[in-house]
Formats: sequence, C-alpha cells, structure tokens
Amino acid sequence: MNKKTVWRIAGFAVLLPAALLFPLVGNNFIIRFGTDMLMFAIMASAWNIIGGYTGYASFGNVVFFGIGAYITAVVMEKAGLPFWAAYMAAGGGAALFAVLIGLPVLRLKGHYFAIATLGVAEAMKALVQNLKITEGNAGIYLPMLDMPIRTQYYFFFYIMLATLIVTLLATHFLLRSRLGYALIAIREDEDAAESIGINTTVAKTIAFALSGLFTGLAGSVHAYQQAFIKPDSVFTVHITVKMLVMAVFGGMGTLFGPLLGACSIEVISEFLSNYFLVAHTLFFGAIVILAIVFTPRGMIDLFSQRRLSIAYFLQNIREHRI
Amino acid sequence: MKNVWLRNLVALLAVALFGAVGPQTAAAQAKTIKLGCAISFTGAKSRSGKLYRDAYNMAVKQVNDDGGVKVGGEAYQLKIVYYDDKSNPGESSKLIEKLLAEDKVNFLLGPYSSGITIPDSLVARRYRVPMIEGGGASGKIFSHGNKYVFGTLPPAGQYFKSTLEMTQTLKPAPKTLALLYADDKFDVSVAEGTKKLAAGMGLKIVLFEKYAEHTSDFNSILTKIKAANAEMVLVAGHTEESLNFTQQAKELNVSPKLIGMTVGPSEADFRKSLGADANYIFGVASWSPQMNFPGFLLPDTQEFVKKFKAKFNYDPDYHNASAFANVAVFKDAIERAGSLDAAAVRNAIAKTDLKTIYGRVRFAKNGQMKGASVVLQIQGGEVYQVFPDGVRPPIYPFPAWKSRR
Repeated sequence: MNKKTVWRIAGFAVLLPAALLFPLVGNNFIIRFGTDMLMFAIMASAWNIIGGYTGYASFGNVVFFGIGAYITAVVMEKAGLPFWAAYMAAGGGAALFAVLIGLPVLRLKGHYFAIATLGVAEAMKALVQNLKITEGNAGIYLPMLDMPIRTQYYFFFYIMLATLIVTLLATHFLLRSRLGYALIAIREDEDAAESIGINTTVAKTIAFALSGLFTGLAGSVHAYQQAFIKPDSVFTVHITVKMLVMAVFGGMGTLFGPLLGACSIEVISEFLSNYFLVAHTLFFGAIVILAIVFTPRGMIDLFSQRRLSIAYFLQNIREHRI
Repeated sequence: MKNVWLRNLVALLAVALFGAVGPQTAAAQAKTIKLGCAISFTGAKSRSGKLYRDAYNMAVKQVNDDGGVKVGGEAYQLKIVYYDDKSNPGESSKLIEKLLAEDKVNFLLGPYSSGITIPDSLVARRYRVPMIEGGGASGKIFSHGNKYVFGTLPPAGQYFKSTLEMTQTLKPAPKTLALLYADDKFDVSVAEGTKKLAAGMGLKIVLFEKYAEHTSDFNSILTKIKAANAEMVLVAGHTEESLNFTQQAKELNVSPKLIGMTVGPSEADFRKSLGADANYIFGVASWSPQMNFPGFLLPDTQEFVKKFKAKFNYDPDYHNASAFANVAVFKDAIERAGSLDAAAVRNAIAKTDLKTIYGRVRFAKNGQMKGASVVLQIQGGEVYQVFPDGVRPPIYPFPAWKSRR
C-alpha cells in the first residue's frame, strides 16, 4: 500500500460517516442543499476523468446530464417503469452515447475537442426540443415520489451519496489500473503514449464513457427530484461550466479535488447569494479568479502540500508566470 | 506588509457579509405574515423578474400602510422574503425549499416564466402551502392536478380569443388566417387554442407554422405567408421575434389585412425600436393600463397606473398588474380564512371572487384565473385598447407598407 492509498482510505474514513450522518442534523433545505452539492461533486468528479486525468477538456458534459434526466423522464412517465430501472437506463444510455459520440469527437484535440463537445450538447438540446416523446420544448413531468416529505429528502440524498461513492471508488480503481496509467500518459503526451503501444482510442473512449455514465446517473436523480424538466434547464452550458470550475477550483487530476471544489463552490455561492441578492455573481467571479491566480493546482493542493502561506501563493504565481 | 493587508481584507469582507444579518433579525419582532418568493434577480429572466418584484413591493407597502392584514382581530404586517433564482428552475425549487424550511414563510408568491413556476409549484404541493403566481400562463402548470398553485394570467389557449371575436365585427371580415408560433410551452398552447377557436368560427387556417424560440430570420416564413395569401397573420412569440418579424415583413413588403401579436405591441421597447412601423399592429393583453376596474387595495386601475408610474418611472403593463393582484388576493383570502393555516387559506383562495385593479379575479377548478384578454392596437405610436369596449375603434385593414410615407 503506497502513501497515496493510505491518504485516500483516511479520506474515505473521515468523509463517509460525516456524509452519512449529514441529513440527520439539518432541516429539509439543508438536506436538499447537500443533495445538490453531491450532484455537482459527481459531475465534477466525472468531468475529472476525461478532463483532469485524460487531458481532454470537455465543454459538453452537460449532454450526459440532460440525457440521463430525459431517459429517466421518458422511462418513468411514458413507459411507466419504476425509478431503479430508469436510473440504470439513464446511466447506460449516457455511457452508450459517450461511446458513439466519442469515437469521432475524441479524434480532435485541444480547442477543437472543446468546441465539438459544446456543439454536441447544443445539438442534443435542439433534438430533445423537437421530439414528440420528450414533449418538446414545453418540458415533461415525472411521477412524484410518494413518500412522507422528510423521507423523500433522505431518499434523494442517499441515492446521490451512493452514486458519488461509486464514482469515487471507480476513479480510484481506474487510477491503479493499466487503463488509468494509459490515460495519464495520454494527457502528458498522446503521441508518445501511442508509440509505446497504448491503444489511445480505446482508452479515451472508455474514459469518456465512464464520465458520461456517472453524469447521466446524476441527471437521473436530479430529474426525479425536480419532478419536472425542460430542455433549457438540463442542457444548459452553465452546468458544464459549473462542473469545470468546480474541478479546477478543487484540483484537476486528483481524486478528492472535484469533491472539495463542488462543496466549496456550492457553499460560497449559497453564502454570497444569501447576502447579496444581485452582486453575488460579481463577488463569485472575483473569488474564482483569485483562486485560479493563487492556487492554480486547486484547493486540494493546500491540503496535500500542507502549506498556507504567502510564500506558497507567490511560488504559484511565479511557476505559472501570471 | 502583505500579511497585514490580507488580514484587513478578510476582516472587511467578514463585516460586509455578517453586517447584513443584523437588521433582518431585528425586524422579525412585529407580527408578520411572511410571503416567500424565489425570483430572477440575475440571468436571462431578470428584467421580467423586476416587473414582478416592483409590483409585489408596491402592493405589500399598500397593504401595510392601510393597517395590514386582519386575522382574528389582530393586524399582521406583510413581508416578502426574496431570493435570487438566477433564472434557473433547479435553483428556484431549491430556494422554495429554503423559504419553507428555514425562513418558515407562510405562503408563496410565484416566480417569472412557466418553466420555473412548474418545479416551484411542485415544492408548494409537496409541502401543501398555497402559491399564487402571476408569471406563468401555460396550461401545463394547471394540468397536473396541483391544488396548491393559483395563477392570475388567463389560459394561453384563450389569448387570441378576443382578437378572433374582433375580426367578426370588422368589414369585410378576414376569412383566412396564418398562425406562427414559437416552440416554447406558452406559445404552443396559444397556437393550439387559437387553432381550435378559429375552426369554431369558420376561419380557414392557411398556414400553421412553428419556429424556434429566438429565431431572427423570418424570410422563409414571410414568403410562405405571401404565397398562401393570408388575410390575417397572428404571431405568438416574444418581443424580439415580434420585432424582427415586423421589420422583415416591411422589407419583403408583406402586408396582410391584419397583423396581431401576443407579446410586443404592449411594450414600450417594441414601439420605440420600430417607430412608425409599429403602427396598426394589433396586440393582446390580459390587461391594459387604459382599463378601469374598481380595485381592492387601490380605488381603481387608473389610480394604480398613476401611483405606479410615479414610484417606478415606467408604465405598468399586465405583468405588474397581475403581480399586484397576487398580493391583493392573498390579503383577501387570509382575512376570509381568518387564520394563517395553509389549508384554510388555500380553500379561501380557491373561492376568491375579488374585484382588483387587474379585473375580477376568480379561479377555475384547476387553479387558473377565469378571464379574457383585450385587443390593443398601436395608433400614432401609442397603444390603445380597441376591443372590447375600445377607447378607439380598430383601424382595419392594415395600410400596405408601400402606401405609407
């Protein structure tokens, strides 16, 4: 067992009980807030697989979220199947879509990949807006969960938590596998990776599919919780931006970075909009800029380096030539 | 040096953040009824959001100045707790949960737009707390058996009813109709409703065309209108689209006998952008500032228009009036219920029959207001109500673009 694994196990050991007990201490809103935080943690972690580890900055990951949400809506509302079936279908559907779209799109690199993924998400939105089965741009209702109010909050929170745990465990085991090393090799130098015999197409596509799978699952739970979704709201580029900012803010290419990023961004954002009804977006933007300038390797770096000093910030600035 | 500077900055930020807490907690001492509202302060819907907030605030101030809401011999002050939903439905429904779970608001006021109203109203339903909204007209809000949402915008499907009725009084009455509509929920409902009404009146629909929300190019649609030779063109869309449509109709010289639009003509922006080209276009509204209804919080509509303009320095439109009526309905219903119990107030709202500056408010079984829209026309750069009981007669047929100066 190497040092990193020990740290990860310790991380799990501290975070898991805290997360499990979280709903017992808060009111309904706090639980809902926690659920949303977990949802973004899943999406940021999923983005991290393709964006952070593989080095392919996807600007269209929201497409998986939207697909997950809409598959859930259609499977439950039109086919009348229970949630667990819709949940599985949502994850599977999003992953399958990632494979289909990844094969052509993953051949592109850098900005071209980013723009292509952005386009895929917009195209999907347009498609959903015009299909009969999704009830078009008008949006679609889902059946409402028939449980006492408090139980509903527990239900969504724990499903989201379970999904996050699976996401993090999958990422952890992925990183220890051959495939994980292949992904990192691709990020560092794709041509070199290919020349040493890594099948980069397969590796990248699997990474993209995993990213899609978990994002789709998050979309599925979100749709069931909202009980009504609309193409605009589940395919909006804002969600992609949010997962990206969270992953970068927390620390790209680290296991707990996106989780930390999601939690801190959600808390900061909630805190700001609570006190500044309009100006919160301004302050929020300023905070993100400062964070990128002073801690470009993410918040997680403060923990793993265990340094919090002016010298650390200055070193960061020098190293990244800002 | 750097350290001191940073510490000062942190201290300053902390003061700025926590300083805001003080007055809020102090004000909560008096007997108040809290209305919760998660509405757009930022994002795409922020402009419309402001229309609602202005009117909500004005109505609440009016209620409080007049002695508040009387429940069981005691006077309560009304207070609205606002949050910014960032024009995002997920955020909005989360904030409704916050309003109910943390701020313990008694009742809910609606957000702006149907897409945000639906998830919000589902939270209201989950908690069994009534919500009155004036910003969502889509039938979809009221189609799902939600007993806790009440809307004061008339059903979308009936929007063009008054326009079609007006055409029956025109000589010669137009016989053919082209109907264009944006692909969002509201406009699809408008179009489907209008189609049914038109068929009932024996009008022939020669073009029934959907276009994507935010479309800016109407050239191909206009060519089709010309080819179909439609006497009457009705557009169910948004201000921007109405603007573009009119401009391009002029460029292509498409002059049907009548052009009517849902959103646009009633707004000052529309008339300012188009200038003289806006003339003779018909609009519809559930309300217009030229109406005069005896009111509930204020003596009548004209008094509302005057006060509103003095206070906010712009002309109120139906958004403002609808929002003002929302607060009026709450006051009336709470007083009739004689308690703050959510179920009792919900039942009182359902039985509402109230004369407001917005017109007579009664709710259908599904929670949507019963009502009819009026027809407006732009004449000489101003909007006039032309049907029913217009202040001016409608000008018909539409003078061809070429014949104008």
